[in-house]
Order: sequence, then structure tokens, then C-alpha cells
Amino acid sequence: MVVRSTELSDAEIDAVFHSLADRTRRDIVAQVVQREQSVSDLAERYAMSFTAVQKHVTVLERASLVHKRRDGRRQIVSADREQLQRAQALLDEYERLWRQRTDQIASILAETPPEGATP
Amino acid sequence: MTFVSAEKDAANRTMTFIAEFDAPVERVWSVWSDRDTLERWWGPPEYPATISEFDFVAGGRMLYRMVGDPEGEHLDGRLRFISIDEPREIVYDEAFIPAEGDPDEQPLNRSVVTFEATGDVTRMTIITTFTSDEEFEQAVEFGALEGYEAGIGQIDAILAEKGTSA
Repeated sequence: MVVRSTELSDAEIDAVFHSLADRTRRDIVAQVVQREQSVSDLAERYAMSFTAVQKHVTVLERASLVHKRRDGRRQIVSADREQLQRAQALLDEYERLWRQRTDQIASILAETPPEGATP
Repeated sequence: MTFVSAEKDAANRTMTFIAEFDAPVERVWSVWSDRDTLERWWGPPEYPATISEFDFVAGGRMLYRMVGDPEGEHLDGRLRFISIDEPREIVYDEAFIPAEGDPDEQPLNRSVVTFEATGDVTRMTIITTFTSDEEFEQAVEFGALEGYEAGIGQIDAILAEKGTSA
């Protein structure tokens, strides 16, 4: 009998995906990949409060995509390049897998000609 | 060409893969919904898949094993179908099961597969998003298990033997 996973609720899973779909967070990563910046610097870019930007940074930090450190009163955000590179490698792997699957699907579809095709 | 595009966004751990097939949408759907057919294309040529459980309904599960050639390395995978909207969309979560692992562990990624028909051409779009860190580590290990060559050249051969309807 299949039991649903209790490790992570559907709501939590949805929250993860929801967080990744956020445009501001994507932009924050793009910014700090170029150079590390303080949360205040980042906050100036967006039409939202410092606190809201800080929350976005925290979400990215949980995903290990950025790191935050204190510099006096400032919070400096930097990108985790290694993590991004690993993500890239994984995505490359998945692209390869799907290219192969697509080839195989095409072969299967080619086997049986559609109705009404000339023999 | 069957393959259309693949966009990868490392910051968001998302891949958007688009392919087009010379077949009506019902036929493309059937390569997913029919267990025996799915088994034929799910694993790469060097890692053919055997499906041991297949329950193609929302909340249903698919269990499979890919066995590597020639070392016999294997990888167990699990899909949980989140929603199925025939013939438009399939949403599933995927996880890999380590040898001593819990078969109901957290998902590694979520994929949304959509089908759009334009006459006799069906466009299939797959958006896969990887989840949290722990699963991500696993996925990287999975990547290390692979290492097969993509056989893109096959596509042209397939299209050539099909012949276009006049």
C-alpha cells in the first residue's frame, strides 16, 4: 500500500516552487553574480521595502544560491558560484536525458503511420 | 527536427525543454499513458528502464529501474503523478531511491509536461524544477551515474524514413 510522504507536505513543496518562480529573486541572483552587494543596494533596485528584499535574500540563502555576511551595519550578499555551476551541470545532464528520450519517442511514433497515410 | 529548444536557468534550477513531433496529440499522449510504450523511451539506450509499478492517475505512482550497460549499475526512480489532464498536461514529482533509501522520500524535482497540437504537429514542453538542497545533492550524484552520449543524429534518420505526406 502506498503511503503519502510525510517528510514534506504538499504545501511545503508548493512553497518551494513558488519561491523559485519569483522574478525579483531571479534578478537578485543575477545582480550578485556580477558583484557582491549589500541588501540596501539591492533594495534600491526594487519597488519594495528593505524588509521584503531581505526576505527574498533569506529564501535564496536557504537554497544555498547566495551567502550573506555582516560588514559593520551592512549585510553583504554574494553568489555561490559553485552551487550555480553544479546546478548548471545537473541541468545539462537533464537536457541530455530529454534529448535522448525525445529521439526515442520520435522513433516510436514513426513506427505506426497515422491513419489514412499512403502505404 | 524533433528537438526545438532547451533553456536552462541555473539560478532557479529550472529547465524548459521543447520538442515537436510529427504526430497528432493523442498519439504523443499515448507514449506517456501506455506503460509498455513509456518503458521503451524512459531510459536512455545505455540505461534502459523497467517499470515495476505504473498507476497513471492523479496521486498515482510509477516505480522504475534503469540498468546500466555493461556494468549493470542501476538506479531506482519514483514518480508521483500530481495531476493528469488528458491530453493537455501531466504534472509529476520525481525522486531517486538510494539502495537503502525510503521509497517515499521527498521529491527531487517537479515536472510540468504540456502538449499543444497544431494540425498534425504536437509540441511537447517540459518544465522541470529541482527542489531543495538535499535532493539537489542527490541529483548531482545521479548525474555522475550517467555519462552517455546524446544520439541526436537519430532524429534525421527517423524523419527521413517517415517520408512526408504529400
